[in-house]
Amino acid sequence: MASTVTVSTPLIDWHALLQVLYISAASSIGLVVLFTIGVYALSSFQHRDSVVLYRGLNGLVVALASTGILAMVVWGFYYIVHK
Amino acid sequence: MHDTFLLALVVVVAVGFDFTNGFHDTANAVAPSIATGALKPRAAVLLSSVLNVVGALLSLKVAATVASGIVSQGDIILPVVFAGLIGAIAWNVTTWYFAIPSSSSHALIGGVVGAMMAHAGARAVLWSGIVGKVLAPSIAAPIFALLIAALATTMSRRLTKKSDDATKSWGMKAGQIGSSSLLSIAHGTNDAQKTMGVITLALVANGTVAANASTPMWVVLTCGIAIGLGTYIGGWRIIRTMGQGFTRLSPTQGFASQITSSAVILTSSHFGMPLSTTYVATGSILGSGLGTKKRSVRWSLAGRVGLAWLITLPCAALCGAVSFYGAKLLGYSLGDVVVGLVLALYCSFIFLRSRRDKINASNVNDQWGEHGEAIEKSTAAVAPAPRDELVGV
Repeated sequence: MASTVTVSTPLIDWHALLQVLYISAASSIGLVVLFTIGVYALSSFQHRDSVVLYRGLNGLVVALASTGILAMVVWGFYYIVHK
Repeated sequence: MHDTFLLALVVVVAVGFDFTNGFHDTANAVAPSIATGALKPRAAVLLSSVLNVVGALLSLKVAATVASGIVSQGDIILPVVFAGLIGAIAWNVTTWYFAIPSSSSHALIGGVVGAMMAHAGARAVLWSGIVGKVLAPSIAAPIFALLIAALATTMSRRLTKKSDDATKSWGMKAGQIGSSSLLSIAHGTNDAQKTMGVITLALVANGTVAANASTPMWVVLTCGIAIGLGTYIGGWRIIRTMGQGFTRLSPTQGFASQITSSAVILTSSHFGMPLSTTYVATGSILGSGLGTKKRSVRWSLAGRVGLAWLITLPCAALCGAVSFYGAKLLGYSLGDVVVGLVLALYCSFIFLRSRRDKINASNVNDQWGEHGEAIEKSTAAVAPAPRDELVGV
């Protein structure tokens, strides 16, 4: 005897809503923190009295933060447009 | 049934709605940047308008949801789409006059639902779509935005506690230019598509394209340009409410709120949720106020705006239904022309009234209260302060 299985679709797609929350939270807080670290490093980098190694390290952090932000934004758009 | 005249009328009104959507929602993307001085007002709206057009071309998922997930395509006729748009424009213009950042999307969806109910009854409305795809994301998204922005602002504030104010202010303002751009693109991906969806619905109703057909490219381009032009005109009254009303924004808050809004809107667009970008931007700004040391937010204003949010869907639906009955009474073609003229008269009246206390690029950043806005005693924490103090949070 053939049996039919009825699959009811939930009224609210909680899974999608939770994904919006997780992805938004991770990307927003990630971007803001990364940018803030970059700004903090830039602020320290501009102190002329600090030692060369320390300034170099801060410069590296600024560069890494900028690259990270750019990568996140580009990946975000790729994700939106191509998936 | 093919009716080229009525279809043309619907397309013109839809493009008109997209234009009002642009100027009504300019604030979402640019208000924090203008409030903190990261961008000059005119430069901000120009940048936002160009990037809204770019965003409109990026994705069509929201357009598909609006075209097929709100009302039954089998019952749709052109006068319903027309009346829905009239209702949405009427509500948008009214809330703009009162400087209330309400949702253009809810106005549009409410207008179409109201007109559809007047035409075919409640059975023709896809209530599961309304609840699942419109109401649920619209309630959840601003709450998400508020919580995330509060957390992001708090973390950013703590991390930059020891950095010097000049670099922090400069850095955050530079970041705001980027985040404002991102938010404008996000707005284009979500809001321009709603009108694309409605025009597609009209084309289906007229038999010009098949049901479930994809949005034609000319519709995409026309809507993108219309929302871009509307954005450039700049809804200064609402920019003022969002930039100066809810909280006193610093560059750190502005940056955190704009990044949060962009992330929530872009992610929702990806899942095809036609949420209100205005509600998300408002939630983010309120959250950024909560993330400050003093938790400074004008809750009385937020409450009034919240009330307007609650009545937007039913009021736009009522306007849509009244427009439909009005047009039906006179015969659809003549009736739609008359209803369109009544709307044009109403818009002109509102525009002339708004000239009494004109808010534009030159006075949008005046301190809150200078244009007759109420300031409650309990909001001392958000009391106006000299602009050069807006460095840190």
